[in-house]
Amino acid sequence: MLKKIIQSGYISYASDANRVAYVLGHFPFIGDKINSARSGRREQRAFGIAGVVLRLIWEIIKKAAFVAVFMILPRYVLGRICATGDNGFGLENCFVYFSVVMVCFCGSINNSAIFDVNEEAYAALREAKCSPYDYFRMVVLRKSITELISFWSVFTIFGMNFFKAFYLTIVIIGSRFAGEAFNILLFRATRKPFSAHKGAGIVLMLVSLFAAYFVPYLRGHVPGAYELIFDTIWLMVILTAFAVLIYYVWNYSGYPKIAARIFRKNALEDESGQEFISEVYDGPALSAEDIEEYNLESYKEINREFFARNRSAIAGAIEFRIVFSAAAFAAALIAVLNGYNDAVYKVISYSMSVMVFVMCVFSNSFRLCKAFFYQCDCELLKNESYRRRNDILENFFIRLKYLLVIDLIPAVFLSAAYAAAGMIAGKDGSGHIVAAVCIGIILLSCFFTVFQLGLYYIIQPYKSDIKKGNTVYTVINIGMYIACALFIYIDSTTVFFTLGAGLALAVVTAAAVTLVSQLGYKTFRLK
Amino acid sequence: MRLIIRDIKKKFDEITVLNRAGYDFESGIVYGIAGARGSGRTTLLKCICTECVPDSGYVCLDTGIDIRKADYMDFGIVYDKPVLPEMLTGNQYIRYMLRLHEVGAEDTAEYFRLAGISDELMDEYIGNYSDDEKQRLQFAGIMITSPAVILIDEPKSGGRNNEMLKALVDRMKRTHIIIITSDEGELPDGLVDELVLLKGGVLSGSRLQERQHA
Repeated sequence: MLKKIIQSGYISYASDANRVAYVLGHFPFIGDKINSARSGRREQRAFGIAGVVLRLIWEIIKKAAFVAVFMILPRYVLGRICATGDNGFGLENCFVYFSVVMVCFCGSINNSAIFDVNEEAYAALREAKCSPYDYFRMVVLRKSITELISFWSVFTIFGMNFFKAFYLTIVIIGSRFAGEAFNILLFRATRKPFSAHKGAGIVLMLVSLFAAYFVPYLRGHVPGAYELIFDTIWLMVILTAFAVLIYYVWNYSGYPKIAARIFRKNALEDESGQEFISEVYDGPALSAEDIEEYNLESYKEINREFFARNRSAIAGAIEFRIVFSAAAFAAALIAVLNGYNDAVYKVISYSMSVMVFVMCVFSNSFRLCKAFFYQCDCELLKNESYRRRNDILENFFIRLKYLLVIDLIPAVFLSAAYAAAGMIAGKDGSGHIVAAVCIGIILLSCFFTVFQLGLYYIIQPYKSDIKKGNTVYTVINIGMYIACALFIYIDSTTVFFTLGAGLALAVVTAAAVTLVSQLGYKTFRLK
Repeated sequence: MRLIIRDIKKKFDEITVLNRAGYDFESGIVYGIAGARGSGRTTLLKCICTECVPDSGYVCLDTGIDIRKADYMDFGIVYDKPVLPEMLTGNQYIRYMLRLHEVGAEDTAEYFRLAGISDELMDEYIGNYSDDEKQRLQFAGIMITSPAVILIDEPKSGGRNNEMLKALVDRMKRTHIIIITSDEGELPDGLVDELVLLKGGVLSGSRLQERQHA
């Protein structure tokens, strides 16, 4: 049985090995030798081991980033803004509490390994016809081993006691099985895993964020998960429960149903694009032959048709962001009603640095640009008239207007939530700060809209046969997310931040229009 | 062996794509499902092979011993845009499937030859294959996994492709049910024994020999 389980992981193992060989094959001096020898058995084994090691290192880096952003940074911020200072936020206490909430509870339910649809899983289950029992056991086992090494390493590196870090990691691994069991039970009841219930995911995230960060803020210290986890009686209870859950997940008999129902070709669309890429039609919505003449009127008609077709998905995306804004206001209201007016004002005045990241995530433009390509441009770009310099610029402006409206609606709601929170906090002389935040939110929303649309036209990263962007595009977007997250560390006034956002918007708009008009006819084409 | 399709209905928003489509497909006959662009061929294919859940209807497999609901394992599908592990070489992929399904000898070259893939591509990454070459690799995979029903979605037509497809189909049709979907008028010549038209969400068919004699 173990041999079959390990065999099920071959695609991932060999892919990682080949990636190592591919990268090394491009190095000077050794590249030719690597390329000529990569088919040999001994060489393949060496690349395989290197692939496994590098994969583990990558997992450690990801976990380190996660711990830094979701544990160490909140500990630092809470220590600054709470009256108790650092006293209520000891390192190990924070690691335990934030891990229990964000990793064991939220992460385990939201990030099921079994229900993770990706190309490797599809190829293994549907093409190679792996046994679903072996495949899913392999996936769970692989994740457990990887997380054991990565979380244990990261907690230890960041200063937690070696043995306590090990025990905390065991709790995390056990909670992963609890999360898998929960997803399996939910699938049995509703035929969908938790991640497919979009509203539930949002609620879970909001509840977790509230419990992880707002509750310690109100109490002035992290609640006592530490004593609970490291108590002998609770230790026995937790480990017994985990043993039962591990047995259930390992021996679940319905894995073929999961493979049949969840792992389909349509489900491979990456999630960010899925809601906007309709599965109704066998191909794109518009064909090059459908358009008689390529002019301003036809571009307006094409875009009108596109946005009408995706109306419900767009409305859904906007609604989610409005709910988020309402939740933010509700949190502020609760805090004010409990007498934390100063704290609410403090959060508002510090929030511009966080808003950069929030508005980056809020923007719908990335997904809509992807939908532009797969529903319209992949066909229309076959026609030379569509690629004329002026036509590209015209189309760019038409789309920019639509995207600005779509992104501005939730931005306006978020600004209104901030303005309302500022009013109810009722701090004298704070009007200009609140106004600066509200204007800053609008400017940041516009910035990311222009940025994404401009990037789409300047890079045009998509191919019609693969529903993923090219590497450069992916790297730019990841870099942008990281850069936006790093704004948290910038210590500056709200007004200055807002002025900076305005300047950035002006620069990105000028750059986008110039580059699209000058280079768009070369770059905006079928690859 | 028989594939039984009954009352398949599928609607997307207000559009009815399949309207109680039904047909019986048997082994020993190569079926071609033809229809205009947008007629729902790919949707039908997906409903048959469980990639898409129909709003109503069922798909069953009569194996001769029992009649049971068709499962995704019963189908081998060759898509016009295949999804294969891009960072594996063709050789690694075929060798892996041979080991996974415990098929005696590991002569991957033989499978490449049967699928009409050049030897030079054996150690090339699948990601560098053309769509046509990926389809051939899928054929090779199907020869190893040997599912009951083989579905081929819009095969590339023309010279060498037709020959390869015909050879594969001739090799497998006796013991498998083979269904090929294509645009109307674009089914490869001489490949299909029975033409099934998909029009208005409904299937209707006739043996090609009967039509020729009619």
